[in-house]
Amino acid sequence: MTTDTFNILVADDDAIVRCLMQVALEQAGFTVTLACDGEDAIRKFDASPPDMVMLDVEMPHKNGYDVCSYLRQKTGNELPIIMVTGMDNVQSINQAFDSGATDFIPKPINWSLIRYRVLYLKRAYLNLVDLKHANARSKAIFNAIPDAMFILNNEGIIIERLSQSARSSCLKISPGNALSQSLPDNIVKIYHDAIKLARKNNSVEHYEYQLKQDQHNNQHCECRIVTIDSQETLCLVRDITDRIDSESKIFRLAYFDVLTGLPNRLSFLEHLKREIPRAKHANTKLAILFMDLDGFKSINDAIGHNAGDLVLQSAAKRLQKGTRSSDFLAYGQQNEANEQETELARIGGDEFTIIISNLQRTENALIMAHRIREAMQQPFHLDNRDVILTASIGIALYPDDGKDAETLLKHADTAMYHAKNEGRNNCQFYNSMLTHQAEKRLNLENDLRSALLNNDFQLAYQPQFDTQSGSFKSVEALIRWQHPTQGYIPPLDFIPIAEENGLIIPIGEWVLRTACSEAIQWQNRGLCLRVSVNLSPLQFKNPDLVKSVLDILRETGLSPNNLVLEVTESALMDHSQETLNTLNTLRNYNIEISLDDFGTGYSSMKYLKHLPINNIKVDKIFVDDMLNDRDSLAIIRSIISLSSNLGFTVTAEGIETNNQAAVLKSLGCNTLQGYYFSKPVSSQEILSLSDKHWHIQEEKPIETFSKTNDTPPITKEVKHSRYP
Amino acid sequence: MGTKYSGITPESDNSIILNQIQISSIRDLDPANGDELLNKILHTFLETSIELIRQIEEAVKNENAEDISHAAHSLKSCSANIGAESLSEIAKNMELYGRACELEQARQLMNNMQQRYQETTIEIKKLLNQS
Repeated sequence: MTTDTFNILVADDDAIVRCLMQVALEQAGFTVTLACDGEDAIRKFDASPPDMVMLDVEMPHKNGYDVCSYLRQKTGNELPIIMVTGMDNVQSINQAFDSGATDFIPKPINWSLIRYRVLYLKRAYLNLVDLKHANARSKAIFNAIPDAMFILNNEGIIIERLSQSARSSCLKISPGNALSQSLPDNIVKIYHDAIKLARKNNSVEHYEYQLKQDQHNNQHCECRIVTIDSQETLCLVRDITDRIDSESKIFRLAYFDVLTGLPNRLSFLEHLKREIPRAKHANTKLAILFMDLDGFKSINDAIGHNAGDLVLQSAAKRLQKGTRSSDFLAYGQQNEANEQETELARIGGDEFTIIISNLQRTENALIMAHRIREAMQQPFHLDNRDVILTASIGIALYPDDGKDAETLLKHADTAMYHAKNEGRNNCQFYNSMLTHQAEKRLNLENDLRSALLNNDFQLAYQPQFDTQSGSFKSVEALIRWQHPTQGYIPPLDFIPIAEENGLIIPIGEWVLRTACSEAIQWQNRGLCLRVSVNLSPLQFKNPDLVKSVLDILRETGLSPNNLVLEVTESALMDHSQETLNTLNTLRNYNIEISLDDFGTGYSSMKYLKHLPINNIKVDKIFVDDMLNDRDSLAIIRSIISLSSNLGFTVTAEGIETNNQAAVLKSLGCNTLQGYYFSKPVSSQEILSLSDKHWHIQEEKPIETFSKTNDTPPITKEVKHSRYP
Repeated sequence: MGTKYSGITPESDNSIILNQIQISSIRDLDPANGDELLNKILHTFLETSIELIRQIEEAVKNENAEDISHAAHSLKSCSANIGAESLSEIAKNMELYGRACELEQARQLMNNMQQRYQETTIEIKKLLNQS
């Protein structure tokens, strides 16, 4: 059939019918072929198959039924075959139907209407043809689609399978199966939720999910769901495993360096850009380390790129090892909530970067840089030779050296060039002052360690005057450090460092052990003195404190009631049960507890009542002012009165004049300590002071003190920080 | 409906020799060529029908029921097509007699059929002469 001609074969033995039919149909635009009997009809049909056949029933040489059956068998059920039958003959209509006729036209024929009748039939036929084409096209499309496609009813039963791709084994689709027979419950739920949503929004719902295939492989599926009607849903499932795999490959190629497996420059910059706002928000620092291998290029040129690549791979491994944060925490920082994190990247040929987030101390960046620098100094063992290289490392800090990733990278690079200019194998901060300070501090840390090993520390003792007996019965132990090259270093300069890096614990133990053993030496010379040792808050929180103290007492033989431990208010300020337990345990062993620096912090009187302490030390600042400031005097008076009521003794520090001593004595202060009596002296000198008695002259009434009679202070023992 | 074929309907005298409506509708099929189609159809009818009448006469004479019904069926059909209703009606009855082997009835109907055929051809010839 062509689009413009529609050929109808008319078979009738009646010449009049043939003639009229031809005219009527040609008038309607049809092409007509005539046959005068059944056999003629078949001949004409075979010669040129028409688009439609009209058959008279009663014809010589094969009647209409036989011709119809024959044609139907030959051409399939699409060809429209119209039987022209007597209107009064129901039997013939039935027989026509059984022979496969498409329709019938009753006789006598209404010649003015026949053309319309045939036009209607033609249109129905063309619709049928269109439908068949549409189905064929759909089928072709379904076959070509790489997806599994099926129709699901509301009960989750697959009612029809439209296609199942060879590749896609996303699920076994057999009509009549429930979805739950081939998919796990959580995935079935995804389908049901998607169906609900698709129905509600009249939309195409799109989901991706994973199916575990075996131990190592997951299958990734993408499913599209669209509703057909209130009962049925069309589902398309595509296997997207290849795509997901490619995406992850692309991701690796885009963000990772193929040679070393490390994140690349793009990855580094994106990471840094994420870290900057985090650091800004948390108010923490970032360090960006920029490492370049010194002279790598010439080595690459000399021994070839393959060897150069091996060196870079080894360097990357060393960097990974050297930047592991667990190796990097200083003592006492393990429990910090915000641990330092490092992110390593290779951003160019022999250029590597490290981002340190949550940088605790500036020095940590320098420590890591030096560790890496030292790691790079080790020979690289290649197949037939060893290669020796050094590294120059620059460090930029956020926010100090830049607020954005590009600036920080640029400044880290600049610092690296600075390190190269300093003779390579070197580490430099972008801010060179910082390098100096940090180096100094790090050197001090190292020196502290050696001081501990080499026994460079010493103790000085300041006598404590007992107002009742008029002699001194106790001393406070104070640490002294004579640096081999820098001379005397005040505790203020090294104790905070020791507290930061955790060295305070072994230093504190050394102080305790030394003080106890020297006290025993005095006893052996007949001088029985109690010795006060300061505990840093960090020591006090150390769960091993009690054991350590008891071990040292046992070791040295000092009686516990000759030991006083001085702790600050701040160390006890958490009011925790652990704090109380520690204090109670120490007290149970008859070790005295003295509350140091009282009055300088937040003093909770209510809490004080519950503390198992023996003594309160009034801070020097009150003593300094007591004679010309009524408030200071009032505070001292109150502390002494309060302590007396709570059963504590009171020690006043920083006594420099007779007046101060006299007033404090008259107020009932039990113990006095200060330059007026003695500066801190060596263990040996303590023995020589043993016989000394001090006389405190009765003073004028307190009320007459004026601002002018304050004696200028002599050299002071200043304590700004907690140290043993 | 089957009962309709089992009995022989009484002869009815349909007075319409040539239904003008049917004639018009044939004429209207091909208005462009005037009465050409109609004339062709009527000539064809005259040629076909005279042969069919002869076949019926012979079959009746030979008492060949099957030939009677065959020829009568064709006469019924072609006369209906040109609107010769009365003749078609008689042919229909003749067909039924043939099918039912009512040979006596067929013979009796013969005169009637011939007479009606004469009247029909006269009408047709009139039409042909008009154009």
